[in-house]
Amino acid sequence: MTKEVDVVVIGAGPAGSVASSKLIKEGLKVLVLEKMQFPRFVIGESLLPYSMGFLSELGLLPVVEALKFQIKTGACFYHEGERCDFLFENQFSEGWSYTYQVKRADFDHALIKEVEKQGAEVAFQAEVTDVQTSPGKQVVTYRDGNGDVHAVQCRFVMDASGYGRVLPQMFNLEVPVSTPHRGAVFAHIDDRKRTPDAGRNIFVHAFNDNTAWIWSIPFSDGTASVGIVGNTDFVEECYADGGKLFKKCVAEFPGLNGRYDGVEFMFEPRLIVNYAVSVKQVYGEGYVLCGNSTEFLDPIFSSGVTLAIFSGYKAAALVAKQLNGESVDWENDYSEMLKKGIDVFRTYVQAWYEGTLGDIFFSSRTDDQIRQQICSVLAGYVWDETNPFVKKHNTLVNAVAHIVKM
Amino acid sequence: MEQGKNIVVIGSGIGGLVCALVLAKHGYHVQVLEKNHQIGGSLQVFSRDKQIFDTGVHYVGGLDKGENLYQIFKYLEIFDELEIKRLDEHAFDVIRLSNGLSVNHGMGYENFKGQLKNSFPDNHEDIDMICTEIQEFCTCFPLYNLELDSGRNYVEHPEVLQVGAWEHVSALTDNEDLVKVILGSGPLYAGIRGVTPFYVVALILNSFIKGSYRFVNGGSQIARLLMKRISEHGGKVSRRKEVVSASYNESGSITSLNCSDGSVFACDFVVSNLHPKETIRILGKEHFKNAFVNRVFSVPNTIAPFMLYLSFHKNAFPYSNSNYYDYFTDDIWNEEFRFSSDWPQMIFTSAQVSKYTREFTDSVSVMCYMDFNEFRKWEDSVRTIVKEGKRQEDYESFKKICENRVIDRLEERFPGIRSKIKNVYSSTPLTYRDYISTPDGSMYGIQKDFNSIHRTQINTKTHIPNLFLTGQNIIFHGILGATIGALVTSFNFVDNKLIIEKIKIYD
Repeated sequence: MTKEVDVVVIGAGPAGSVASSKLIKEGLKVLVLEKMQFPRFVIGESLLPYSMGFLSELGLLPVVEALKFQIKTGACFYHEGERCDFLFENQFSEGWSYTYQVKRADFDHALIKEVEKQGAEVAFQAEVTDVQTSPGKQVVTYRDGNGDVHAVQCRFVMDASGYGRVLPQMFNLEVPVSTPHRGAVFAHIDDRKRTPDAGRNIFVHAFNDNTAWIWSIPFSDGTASVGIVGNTDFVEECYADGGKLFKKCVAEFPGLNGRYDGVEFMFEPRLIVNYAVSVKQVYGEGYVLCGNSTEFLDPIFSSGVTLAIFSGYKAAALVAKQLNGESVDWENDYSEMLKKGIDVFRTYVQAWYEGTLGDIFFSSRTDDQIRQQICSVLAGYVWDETNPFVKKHNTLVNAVAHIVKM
Repeated sequence: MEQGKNIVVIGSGIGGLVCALVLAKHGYHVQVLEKNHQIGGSLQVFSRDKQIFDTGVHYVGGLDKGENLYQIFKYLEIFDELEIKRLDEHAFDVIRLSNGLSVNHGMGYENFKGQLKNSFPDNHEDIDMICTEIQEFCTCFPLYNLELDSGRNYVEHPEVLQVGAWEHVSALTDNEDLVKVILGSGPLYAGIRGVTPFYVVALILNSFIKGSYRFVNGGSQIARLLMKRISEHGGKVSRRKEVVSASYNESGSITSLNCSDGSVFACDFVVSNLHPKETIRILGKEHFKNAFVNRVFSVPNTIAPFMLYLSFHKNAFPYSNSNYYDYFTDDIWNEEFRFSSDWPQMIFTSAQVSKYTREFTDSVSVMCYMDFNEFRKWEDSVRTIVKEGKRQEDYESFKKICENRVIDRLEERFPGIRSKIKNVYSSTPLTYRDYISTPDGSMYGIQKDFNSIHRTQINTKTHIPNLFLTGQNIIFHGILGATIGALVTSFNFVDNKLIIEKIKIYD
């Protein structure tokens, strides 16, 4: 007999965990299908304060706290000798003043284990091979670690497969993005020379005329994540020859006063290119996409995990509503809403690479109120329309950049 | 016509003054009568917090060496004494749409096109074509090019007047943002879809591309210099002289003009610089042909301005050498002028420049448009410096509300500006009506309409044998338009070939 659940969630990353947790809270029976064996490495290690509210509400925060991750209280941007710090406690929106820098292997594993405790059934090494949708009933086929094929019948499918992009590829939903092709090369390093107050927040330094930047994310265990983002050609050059250029850039990381000079690499540099993706629709008959399987812009503002958590939560709430027999306006209440927040980040991402955001960050003419409002965007509060830098993002960012240069 | 005759000019706007000066230079006795305490019409300025504020004119085009207005001002002997500042070569205008797109208008056609092409990489051919069209249309107006004739001119080919601006540009490109950006300085001529002719855009935009300047310490210097030259040529400009009626002889010619203070000015000829509607009202409806009166009273006029004047704290707000056209609606050239929750949907911002302006500015003028009907309930009140009337408290409070709305908009595009403001002043369509004497405070007079070119065209000759018209309603408005209009009016008295020859010396 075919197994039956209410919802099949594809993927056990943060979007999948949060979605499953919400579904369970709504009294639904959930099966999570994860292709990998956890814990596993993944990039995207810096969270934003906005994600904290969702983790807290779903009872997932205690397990995260127990892992004693590095507390993150802000973000630091650096350019040609000038430094600009944003502290979340100064942000305009009502909200959390801190979050965490997390090793995703541990973070993701802890979340899904907790969700499993909350009542979700989780299958690892379960690769989805086929999904058939219809108005009332969906059939998901997957292959387990032994190669055995199973079919599950459910009322709704949530795709939280991230870079796996299960449904976008299966249903041909992918659309190309018009932004330049970029990539990242990264590694973890031994960061023992760090002083306690220097090493709390993410550090970002733009170079090569704003076409590239380097990050440093400190972890609580004394290691750090470092990486370089740039045009595909450039990062491939950094990666070539065992990451020779990458290692040189890290050693000479400006603004860190030699903190990374001669450090030990915990693993050889890795490369990921052309990660920016988008889809033509984020929902359809019997399914919805959340997290990175919808759209991924750019790593610059660490928005990936936060958007995954937000969209996983929102989509799950709507799935529960629909399965409860209520009607759901997927277009406005999900697709448009998600797009709104992503579009805010998009404006800031573009402004970052055009250099206009740097103009704002590093100008003495930028007053405190503007910094506080931009700080809330950097904290992930991109749906707070009382913040003019959210509501009028498409005009205000350019306007401020213009005025500080006038 | 004979020299040595008395010509009285009603109104001291730039059209009246230029016409008076040309005639004075050619031996006529000219007397200009101005009802206000200040001459200049839309060139009037006022001063607050030791700052000078322009009320109508914020910048002027065609002033680069050898361009049309440069040559005319040279001929009028005022150019050398003008204190002007050339606007930003790469951004005399900045057009900012509601979707966040910001595009500069640059001076010189190559630069103008270059700025557009940077922003519209897929529309290079469209941009070239649109610029060619602008230049083509300009060749159809010989006097604009300081010629008396041209291969193709608008008199023999009135179809060039019958092309709509929005419609024509939209036909030349599929990119609506490009249309919006090209026509983004539309508030300069109150552009409206389905109404404003393309030639108006072509003549005005072309002149700004050919050298845009701001006036140092205000545009009133033009009026002052013209007045100085008029008196050097034996003419006179009198202020606080409000013409209220005319006396006629039996052949229907005006023999004298009567002012509100009882003074009487005898005349052989009269040139009225006023709006035709105002001219008819003062000189008596019965002396004009019914058809003309009906036409003048029925054609629509351009929208009225609500102006905001801000003074800033010392060294607080940076000086920008550009003008800004900021839109808060997608519906450009179709903006809502009634007071709604969205008002204003467009603001024009221009910094005032003084001799001492360096990194910071002390003041800016902001213009937006507003339907006169919002002020209908107070329309019976009159207030100028000469006529010190009072307006009700609710008028003042509405004005305050409008001021705050405009500042909210400014804050969106110039974040932080509010905290730099020292004082706020404003004028309404009523202010404009009282000082400029246009119907319902209209900024640019009769609205040119490509659908009915003959109805909106005003001839310099009238049915009163010795009355001639000049001003912004003749050719087009603005410093350049009214100046060329004044030349056309003066051609009724002096040989046009002679004047053009003299102007072209400065080629």
